[in-house]
Amino acid sequence: MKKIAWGLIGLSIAFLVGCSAQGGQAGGQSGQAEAKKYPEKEITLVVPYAPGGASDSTARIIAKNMEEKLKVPIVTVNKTGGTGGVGMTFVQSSPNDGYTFGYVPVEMTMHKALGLSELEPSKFDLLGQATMIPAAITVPADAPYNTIEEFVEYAKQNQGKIKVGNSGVGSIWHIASTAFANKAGVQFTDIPFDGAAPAVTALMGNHVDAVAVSLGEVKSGVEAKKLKVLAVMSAERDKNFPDIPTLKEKGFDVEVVGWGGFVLPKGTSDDFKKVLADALKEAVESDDFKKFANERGMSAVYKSPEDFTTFAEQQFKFFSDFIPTLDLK
Amino acid sequence: MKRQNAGVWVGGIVVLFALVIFIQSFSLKYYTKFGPGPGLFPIWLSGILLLIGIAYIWHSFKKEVITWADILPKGREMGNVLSVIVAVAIFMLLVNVTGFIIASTVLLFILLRREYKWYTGLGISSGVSIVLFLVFKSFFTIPLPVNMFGW
Amino acid sequence: MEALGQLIGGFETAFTWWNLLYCLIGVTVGMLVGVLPGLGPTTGTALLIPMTFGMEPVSAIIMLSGIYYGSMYGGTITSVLINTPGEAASVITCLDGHPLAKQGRAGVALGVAGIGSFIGGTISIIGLAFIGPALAELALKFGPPEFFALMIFGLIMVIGLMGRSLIRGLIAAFIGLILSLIGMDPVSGAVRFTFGEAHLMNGLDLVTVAMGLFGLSEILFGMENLQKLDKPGKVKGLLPRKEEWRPTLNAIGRGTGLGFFVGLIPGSNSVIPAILSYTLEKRIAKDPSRFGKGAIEGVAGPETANNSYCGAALIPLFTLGIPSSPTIAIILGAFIMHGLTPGPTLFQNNPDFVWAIIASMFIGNLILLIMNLPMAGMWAKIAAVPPKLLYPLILIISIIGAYTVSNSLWDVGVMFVFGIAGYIMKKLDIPMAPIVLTFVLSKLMENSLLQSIKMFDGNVLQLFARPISGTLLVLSLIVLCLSVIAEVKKKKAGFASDVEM
Repeated sequence: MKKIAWGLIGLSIAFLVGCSAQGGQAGGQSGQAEAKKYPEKEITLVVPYAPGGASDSTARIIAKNMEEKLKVPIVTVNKTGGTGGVGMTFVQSSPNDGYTFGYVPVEMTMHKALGLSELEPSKFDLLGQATMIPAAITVPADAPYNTIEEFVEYAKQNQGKIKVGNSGVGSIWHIASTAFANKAGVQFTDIPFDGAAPAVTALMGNHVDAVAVSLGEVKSGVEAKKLKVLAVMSAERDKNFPDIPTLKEKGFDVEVVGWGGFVLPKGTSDDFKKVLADALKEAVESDDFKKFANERGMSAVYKSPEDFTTFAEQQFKFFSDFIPTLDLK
Repeated sequence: MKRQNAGVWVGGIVVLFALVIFIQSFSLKYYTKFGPGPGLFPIWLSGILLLIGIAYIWHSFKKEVITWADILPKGREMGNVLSVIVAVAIFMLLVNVTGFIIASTVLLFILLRREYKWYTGLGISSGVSIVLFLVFKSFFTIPLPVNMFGW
Repeated sequence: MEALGQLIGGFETAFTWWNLLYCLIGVTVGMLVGVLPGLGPTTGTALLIPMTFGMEPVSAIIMLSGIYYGSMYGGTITSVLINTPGEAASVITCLDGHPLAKQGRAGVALGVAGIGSFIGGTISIIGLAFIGPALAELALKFGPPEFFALMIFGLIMVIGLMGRSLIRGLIAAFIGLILSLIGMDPVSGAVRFTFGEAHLMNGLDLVTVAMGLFGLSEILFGMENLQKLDKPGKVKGLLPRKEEWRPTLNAIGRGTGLGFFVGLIPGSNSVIPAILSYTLEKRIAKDPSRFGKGAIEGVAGPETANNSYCGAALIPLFTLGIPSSPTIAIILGAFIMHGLTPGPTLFQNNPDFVWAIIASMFIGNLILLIMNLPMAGMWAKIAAVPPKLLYPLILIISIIGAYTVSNSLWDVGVMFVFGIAGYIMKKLDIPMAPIVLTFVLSKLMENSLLQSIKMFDGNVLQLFARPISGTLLVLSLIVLCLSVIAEVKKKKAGFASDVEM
């Protein structure tokens, strides 16, 4: 009887170990699969987040558009877990035969600095960028300040009293608000929420004083005249909100944006990469994707493999320098 | 083993679980300059569970002795329970190599073989597996594991 | 009564053949994903969104919301028949629904759940239509402190579920509390108790854990008793006995109210009203010991509450553009994709649209009732499939269900481990419901406490200074005191009878 009980425990442990190991194999060989015709069968697109979110919708629409160009089906697979780490690692260790690629968000360049995984841009072949999501400093509509200067002035007089909601400690929007506070020389009390939506809800209920999350998240609040946006943190003004200034033009030299792009396993052949990159470019620049991105408060921005690689490396460097100064651990 | 006190064993596992969490919690910040840190909840919760676990062990010793022999089945019944466990184990080992249909057929066959004639069991097993595969793969487009032939 | 006229206009739109068809497709798919363990409304809506690209916005939203409320009906079926919750909100239904099925009253359980769901669903839609906008403002008052107080209230209510032995109940409750802390905590940014395992980073999945504890352990238990299992009794009708009608209808009424209230609160989920309703029913019942052995109110209340929740949870979405649950976030995405921005302006700019959706929900609920009542009898026949065939089939479907959670074998393994644990716990009479319930509450409670304390600059007592949170906390304290007193009295009575014997 004892044996059986131990057997049960042993088996269960063996399972957990076994199934955690299964993602790791299937390493990268065979880059030189000399197929003249590419693509000739269905391609798998790995999304590291659950179905339904902004990342998932972006990836699925892009996949739909790329299918038309490539003339093969693209199957979208959601591999969730590890705050995106499981799916991204899965892509990294997939065969580099051009039949697996993955969606990556800005978090890919932040994971290492946050100590979440060992991922970094140099572990992939970068295919191209698809979206850009600017952060927007947003306050309740009835707040006593109407411009970003007045807000900074107010914050200076109330150091540490302004409560700023973010989408979680170490999230991109936490970094946005902290980077802004540093440049403006003010101190906020950061209140982390489980994602941007609850932070915006708390802002509407006046439980926090400001948020710095994406424009898309605050759009309906602004249209409901419950919120107002003081500034965006991108390099240029947003097309959907042309009246709202950027922080840069107001003299605060900070730029924090979220973005989404696509990557291939390292060592994918250049010919295949070019085919996919061309399809991606067309998909991003298509009208329906632009419309989708605008309505979600994102911009459809295409970057070529080379530009995207440079950009991701810059981002990786920025976060690796900046995140340790937040003293999260 | 049969005479062993099952309550004490389970209590022991609970205590062990609580202890691991308790010790791990100390590597998390208990309190930050803004308020409670990620360590506060786990330390208290696992600390309390530790005490309850110990109380449960004591309870099982003194008040309510339940031995493994009282609760674990014997003979054919034990065989039935173990066959489920073994079937799932084999399924998990097989599925990524053989694909869903074969692994699922094997799993069902192990269980049905005990109650049905082998050909009936095999028929039901393979039939059910194929139907499930088609329903989930085609209708829900769920990427079930497949073998090199795509099924 | 301008609204009434608009509602009639809405019915005109909803009653076109195409929209009726989409409504039917929506609720049917909803039922289906609800029935299949592991697949929930979130996955269902997400998978069907691409299908809606080419559709009229009204039809698209009619279909997607149909999936959403339809799944609440479907989840009940597996809970009752095979003790495996089809989706999270139906975990509670296992507690009394499955015992009812074992008594041959599966039809009654499903029938009552169907009727309750219909009443709860319909009333909450009426609420959504007529008083929604006014209530939405109220819902915004629920900040982190109020949310924390609500979670404490829920936790105190769980004590009512602990079963006969307090010590066993507490073990279960605390295991649930701790398990929910595993993973990366987005609020503090800390990664806890993952032991370097990336799959644990997102924590354990509620449905997987519940499928293991309830479903798989039931399979192990059933396989063990295969030889001596009685043939399940004949399905005895779909309606409760005469004397059960009153308590059932009362439970449905209370469930409707609870579900509607919790639905208004952004950030809550459909499990919470079900827990509150179940414990409320048990607490006010004349004979609480019936619960867990097939009390009809234990099915009627929670099932009504989770459907009532669904309608109310759309209020923050329609009026303020706040998605209060993952499924609703997907519906919000669909709104946006079709060029509509939910919010106060939605009612003004697109009244035809809003009222058509609301009208379609009435129709959808009616379709579900019509589908469910006669089908309850059909479903109940599943319980008559010989166990030696039924259990293996449930096993393989549960495995697929667990696999779909993150498309990997990891969740199958997790379900397996919890299944074995559940089997042993069942043998030792340790209750499993508290594990699942505290699992739902724990993380939300920790987050809201952390946020509250930051908001108050570390002054915890301020929790009592806010009207809503203060009231809820005081209420919790009173309930706690009453339970302790009752427990002590019971102990004394117990001692007395011991002595007498």
